[in-house]
Amino acid sequence: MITLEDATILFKKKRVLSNLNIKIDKGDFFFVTGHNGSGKTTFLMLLKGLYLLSSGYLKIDKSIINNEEISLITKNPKSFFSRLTAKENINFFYDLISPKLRLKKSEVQHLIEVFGLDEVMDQEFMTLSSGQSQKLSILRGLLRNPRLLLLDEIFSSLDKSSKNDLGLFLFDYIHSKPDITVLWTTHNIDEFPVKKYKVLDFTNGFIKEDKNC
Amino acid sequence: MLTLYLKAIYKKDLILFKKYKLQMIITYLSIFIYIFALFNFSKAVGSEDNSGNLFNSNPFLFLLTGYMIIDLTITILNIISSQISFLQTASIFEEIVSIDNPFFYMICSCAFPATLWFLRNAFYVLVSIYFFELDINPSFSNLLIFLCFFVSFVLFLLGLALIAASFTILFKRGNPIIIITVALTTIFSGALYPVNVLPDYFLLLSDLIPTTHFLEIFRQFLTNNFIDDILIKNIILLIIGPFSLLSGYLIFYKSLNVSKQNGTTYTY
Repeated sequence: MITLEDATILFKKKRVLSNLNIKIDKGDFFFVTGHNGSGKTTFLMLLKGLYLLSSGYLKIDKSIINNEEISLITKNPKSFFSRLTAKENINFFYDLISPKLRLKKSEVQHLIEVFGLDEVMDQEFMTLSSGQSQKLSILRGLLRNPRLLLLDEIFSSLDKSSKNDLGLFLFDYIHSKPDITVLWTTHNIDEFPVKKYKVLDFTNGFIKEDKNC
Repeated sequence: MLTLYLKAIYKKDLILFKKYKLQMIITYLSIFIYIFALFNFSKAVGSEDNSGNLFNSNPFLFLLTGYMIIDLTITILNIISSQISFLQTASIFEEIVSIDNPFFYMICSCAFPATLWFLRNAFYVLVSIYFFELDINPSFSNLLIFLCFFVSFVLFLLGLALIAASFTILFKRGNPIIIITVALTTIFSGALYPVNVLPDYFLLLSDLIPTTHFLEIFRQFLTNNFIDDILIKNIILLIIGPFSLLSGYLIFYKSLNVSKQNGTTYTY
């Protein structure tokens, strides 16, 4: 579904990703690991089309997935309009998604309840806590019913309880969609209850290890 | 403590100021530009060579229409660039670039500020008519022709706005496209004084600026003085709008791709 051959990214002559050779199939679940600055986030942003390769080759099979069906949820939970309410923000991003791809309004409402956000939806975004903002960010990422889900350290600003609740929800969500492909950057694989997964371990822009577990 | 703060902030601002050399040059260049505009304005006021000219017969309408077009130029040229700067600062630009068609998003983001421009300027005209005896006599039978020119002129400005936005994407600050366009409009298009007060060697430049011709059409429309062959005489103005938009579209995508390769798209 996604093929990278000798994929390299240079930012101002600095090598950020080097000669990546990866094949990602439909339904794969990858944990992307590596130290800070190893290129994990850049890799996810590349797959989302937010960066372009300096050299090499990236092919995404458009018959299986198009760019609108890729969701990237980042660790930066502040990427909303601060003076709009949570609901107005979600409605704005919802309206930007093609009607044939996005969730139904009732499904969005269900997610709002599952995430425990129903009580803060009328609050201005700037009044939300980091954890609530992060949940809103995850909710936004799911609005487009993604077939490729890119998660970038999304639990970094959540407390333990929210992490457990949302973790359980997300794994249920992923398991309920056998065709969904997931790449999840994290520093700690052990905290996730996943049985079958693959690991891409980055170091200084290279893939140190590519293994099946 | 005050001295420490002052020193730290002054040092930081100086470092940033030095990093944006183009903005520094433009700031000092604009002094000459605006002094030149004031000089020409005073020359036009003192000149006796304006008989039959709108500047002489209805100076209020002349200046009001000039101001409206400068306002329109500044409004449209700034919308997309300031939108992008805001989205980058608020870390929302990734989300917008991710949508199916960021170009349409940028064009659509002009709709609300353009509506505000229209309401604001309609209010200017109404206040001028009812309180300050503005004398206008629009040529409603030529409204359709005027609207064609207006749409084309807006497309021309949108194209420039996209080029200015490309500059913001690539270089972040110190956008010369906006400053140069506004300066050219102010000085050479006949917005604040008739172009005939300009030195001869600038008249050709004035003739090359689409705003000069649109302003002439706008004033002719408001004073019911449309010339018969206006369409033929200004056909180039109708072509230049779509052409400018197409150029803006291509440059916008090119700059977005270049910045995606440099990794600078999402920061400000």
